[in-house]
Amino acid sequence: MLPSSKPDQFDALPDPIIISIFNFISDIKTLTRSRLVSRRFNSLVSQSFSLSLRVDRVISAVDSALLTFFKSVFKSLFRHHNHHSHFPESPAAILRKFEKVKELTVELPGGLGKEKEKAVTRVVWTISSLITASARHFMVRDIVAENKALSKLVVKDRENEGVVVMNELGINEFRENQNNVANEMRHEARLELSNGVVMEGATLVVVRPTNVGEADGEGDKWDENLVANRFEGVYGEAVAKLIKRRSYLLEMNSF
Amino acid sequence: MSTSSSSSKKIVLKSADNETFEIDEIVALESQAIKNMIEDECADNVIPLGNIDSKTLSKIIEYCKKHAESPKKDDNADIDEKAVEDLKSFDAEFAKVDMPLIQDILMAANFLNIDNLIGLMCRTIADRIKGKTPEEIRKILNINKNDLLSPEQEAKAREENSWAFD
Repeated sequence: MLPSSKPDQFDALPDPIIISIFNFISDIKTLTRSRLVSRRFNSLVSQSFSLSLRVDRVISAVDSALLTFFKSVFKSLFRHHNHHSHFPESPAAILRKFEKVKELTVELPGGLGKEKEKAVTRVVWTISSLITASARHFMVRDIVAENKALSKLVVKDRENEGVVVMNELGINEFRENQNNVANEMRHEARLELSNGVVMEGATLVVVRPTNVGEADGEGDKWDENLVANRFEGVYGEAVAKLIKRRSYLLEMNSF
Repeated sequence: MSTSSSSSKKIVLKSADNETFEIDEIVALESQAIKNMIEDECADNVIPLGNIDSKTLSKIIEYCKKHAESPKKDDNADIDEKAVEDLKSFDAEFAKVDMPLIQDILMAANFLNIDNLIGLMCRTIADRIKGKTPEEIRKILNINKNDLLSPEQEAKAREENSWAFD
């Protein structure tokens, strides 16, 4: 009969089992720290393939003329989010330490909403959502380009305000068709809906590839098709109204 | 095929310490390895499991019985929530054993190819070492002292991953 506790018991477990344990741990920081446990841990950690990563700051990971512009205009609003210290390593750089990532969840910081007084909040939130959308796009682009085995990617906010899920199909499409994106913003300070519902500071941001909408009006049509019937209830009504408003185009292709 | 029709056929498993366990074939089929043996007709009346002791084997049989009795997801789209919850709490209770036994079960489940049980044991180990220091993890898993990193290897691992160690 096997003794109840022998020192080599863990050694006897095959590599795929250890890797499966690491996949259940999944958090990249925890896994990286556990490299110090043993030589076997140190060498097998890089083979775990179902990972999650918490990102603390997303703004400094992206640099562009546009962001610099936003930063200077809204510097006072951003003050405590803009430390000028760089992201220790970009998600793409951290992922380079892993050999064959198949599933990845990236968790970004939540919105800025709660910390500001109301009137300011809306502007900050709008700008930050534009920046985040674009930063996300470029972060995802690097991750998808470098991790060939990736078949599922989830990007979400810490407070679950939004989530992007890409499956194998979406990832392949993204890989083959790496277009720049434009953020189109439509905004209404006060939107009156049926049944007396009033939505304050209603904002709709549509992200679309820059190669769409070169001809006049094509872009608006693309937007309309994209958002049509995607939202329910008051949101559906609000979106239907907002989509008809004048849009502000913010192109983010100067990277 | 319904789960009750073939329950009459019996399989006998023999542990490393020569204890025999007579179980319904349907329970044994939870193990992909035994299933293959039966399908290929290489299973005798008694299947000897020379690397699994009786304590581990009885735990594994307990697990397979419960899971064989429970309705399978792919058989029936609308199994009731209660059965799912019941199986979940069984799994949680089942995993409340000491680490040496968990590792023995894992080893045996791997040999017998019981996917769900491998997953349950891996998840249990992950939960027990999550958030622990390297020293604590070594203790929990009883890591062989010969496998520790040299001071140089440790310094290198820290340096290459400095972002994770602040």
